[in-house]
Amino acid sequence: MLFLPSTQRRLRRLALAALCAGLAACNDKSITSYRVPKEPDAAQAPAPDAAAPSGSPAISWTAPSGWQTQPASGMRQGSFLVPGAGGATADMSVVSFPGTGGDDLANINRWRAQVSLPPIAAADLPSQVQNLAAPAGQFVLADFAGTAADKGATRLLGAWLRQPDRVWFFKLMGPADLVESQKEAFTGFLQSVTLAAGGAPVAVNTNDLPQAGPAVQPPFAGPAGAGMTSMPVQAASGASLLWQAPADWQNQPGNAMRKGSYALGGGAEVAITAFPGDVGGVLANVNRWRGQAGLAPVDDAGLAQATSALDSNGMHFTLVDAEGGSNPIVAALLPWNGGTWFFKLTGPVDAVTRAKPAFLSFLGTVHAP
Amino acid sequence: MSSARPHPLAFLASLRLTVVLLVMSIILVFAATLDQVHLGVWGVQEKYFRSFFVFSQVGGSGFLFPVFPGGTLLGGVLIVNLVTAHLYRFKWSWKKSGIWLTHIGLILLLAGEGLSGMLQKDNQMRIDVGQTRRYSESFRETELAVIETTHPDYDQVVAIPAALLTAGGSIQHPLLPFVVKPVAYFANADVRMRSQVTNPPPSLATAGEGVDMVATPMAVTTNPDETNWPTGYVELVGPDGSLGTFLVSTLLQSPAPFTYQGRTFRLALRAQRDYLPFTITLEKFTHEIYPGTDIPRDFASTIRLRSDDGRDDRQIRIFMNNPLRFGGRAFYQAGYANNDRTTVLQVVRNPSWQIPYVSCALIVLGLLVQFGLHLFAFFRRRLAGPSRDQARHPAPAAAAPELAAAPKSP
Repeated sequence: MLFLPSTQRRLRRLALAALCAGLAACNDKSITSYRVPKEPDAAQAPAPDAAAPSGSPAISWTAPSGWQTQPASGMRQGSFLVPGAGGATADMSVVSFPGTGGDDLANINRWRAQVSLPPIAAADLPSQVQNLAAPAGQFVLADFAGTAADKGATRLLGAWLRQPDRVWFFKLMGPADLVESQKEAFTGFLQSVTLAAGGAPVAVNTNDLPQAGPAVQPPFAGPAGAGMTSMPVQAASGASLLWQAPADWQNQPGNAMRKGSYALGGGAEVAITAFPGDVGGVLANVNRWRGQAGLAPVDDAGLAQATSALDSNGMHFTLVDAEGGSNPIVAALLPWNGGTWFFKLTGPVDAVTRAKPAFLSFLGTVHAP
Repeated sequence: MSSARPHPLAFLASLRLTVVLLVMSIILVFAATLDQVHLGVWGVQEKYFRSFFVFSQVGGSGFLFPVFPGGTLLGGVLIVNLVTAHLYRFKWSWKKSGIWLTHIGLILLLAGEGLSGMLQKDNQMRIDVGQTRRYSESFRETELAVIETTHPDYDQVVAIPAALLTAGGSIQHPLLPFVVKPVAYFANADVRMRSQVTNPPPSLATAGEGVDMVATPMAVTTNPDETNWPTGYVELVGPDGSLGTFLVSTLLQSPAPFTYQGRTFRLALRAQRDYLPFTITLEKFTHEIYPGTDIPRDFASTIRLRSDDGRDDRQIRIFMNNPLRFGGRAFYQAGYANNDRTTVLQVVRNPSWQIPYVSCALIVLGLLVQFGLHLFAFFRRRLAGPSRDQARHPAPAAAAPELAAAPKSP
């Protein structure tokens, strides 16, 4: 007998442990689901001049006068048409790539190829680029004059800016004389670029996060307590709207995504949130609220009946009255400063009906800082 | 001479097998080192060390054949060899307890490496000064994140590993009102605007911004200075039919949201994320070099760690060879970028990280015990008197007559 019974038992246990370890290792091929806070970078700084699409990293700039904003799409975070004399136009693009975005030589040679210039060697790189210190960081600048197919003499002004996890490329390309005239505007544009700094810690419902403990919510940024009728509530850091809440609305501790939160009595609640971009557009949001209220969705034709306009303090609200369902919602949507603000009144049917006039009056107090 | 026939397990316990396995390991390391030029560090580890066999094309047949045992197999057989040798050949005695301890340490070391290969996850965190992060990203693994952004307070994410996109078949999840059908997947691709490509081929995408783009598959790069851009096409199919085929790519940073059944979604192909139950804020990054050179002398990240349960809120300095160990992960100072405004932390999650330390402690203890036993026996003999030594090593009478004349010990 080679193995004692106890040894066999030990070996079996060892094999079982190895099997468990093997199974654990296979888990990384499975689908997971979890809840995460909205991306702080995307949520905190809507771009004032050319809003980046929803979910993209926050960047903003001030475009020179005369540059015509084009819709950003796909990889382009910003796109401009730069008009010149005689109908000539140049194209300005802002593109973001995750990671390192390739090495400097590859970037330079890619741009050189676009104006039909031969590639350079790594040793020649320092002579082909310049550095530009700007508030957003250190830009690397390149300037190439060549030709492009069917377009004759073409010039390319390019720059890139490296961020922790991505690289931003800025490129102005077009007829040589037009681009020459826009060189100052181009560097001015780069100087105006600001990138959203990382935000404060975000409150998360950690019950939905993998391996998380109980949630901790940061204190509400605005003044706490009820009866602040005459005190404007600064809801969060950064550019924010101001408003005056009625005296009987109780300020609730919010979380990082809520700009304001009030308990109105009888179970009614007002929540104020803000997001960059158009957050899917008016129709999508109206139908989302109607769905939450237990009402059927509307189409473009039905949108006019489902919404009404409310103009106050230079603000243009789209008011949604979804009171017919089991969970009444009175909500307003306000495009402002490149983002969209949501004001939502929810609660039991009678409480919402009672609170609605005060809610509409409250919307009238919302104003820019 | 029937007793001369060896026991079947004698082969597994033989020292000859140990030597053969060690020689094969040397050959494996040598071949892998040469192949690192083609595959990169990660590729070599996967092909040579974390596999049962090394596969290669033979004679341009196009088929892969196992041509050499891989590291997992060699290490596994080595463990079996060591264990069997102990059970079969070595007999337990206090005099050999040191050897036993040393060998158990060796077995544990081998098993620990095997466990690390299976369980270890290497991620990275790139944090700018002032930035707060709560997730790390995989160096190599990609995932398709279906992000529902409907709720104003949070995003609901369903993360599908890219491996499932290449496996074929539809993907269903209870949180999704549609089925995800992979159409094509490229481990590396170039994505350009359709208007920038001459004679672009028809796009597989029928919805989203991918309609205006062209994805061209590229060879996978193993150069550490280059990046692969995984790209694919997925079709979403709801109960009412197809929602369209979408282009997904790690190059697309701002995939447009779409609405379905009153819910808003985004599709993002991105590096696989590991969300943490705490946040890390980079407060300061310091990078010192040796004067007159670019050689880093010290680089360090001063971070603030805040756990979600509120128990931890402290400042920590992470620098070379001084990682932060927290939440089952080790955060190593791995690099820096962006004119020293960005730190790169390597995040290693390895439940078996303590095994090598325990193994080394066992080996040291075993050696101490073994040598200690010998030393103790030596001193005991010395204390017992010279006669015993003499009995074992009788001195030549001419050289030491006084010893030869000494009385015998009892």
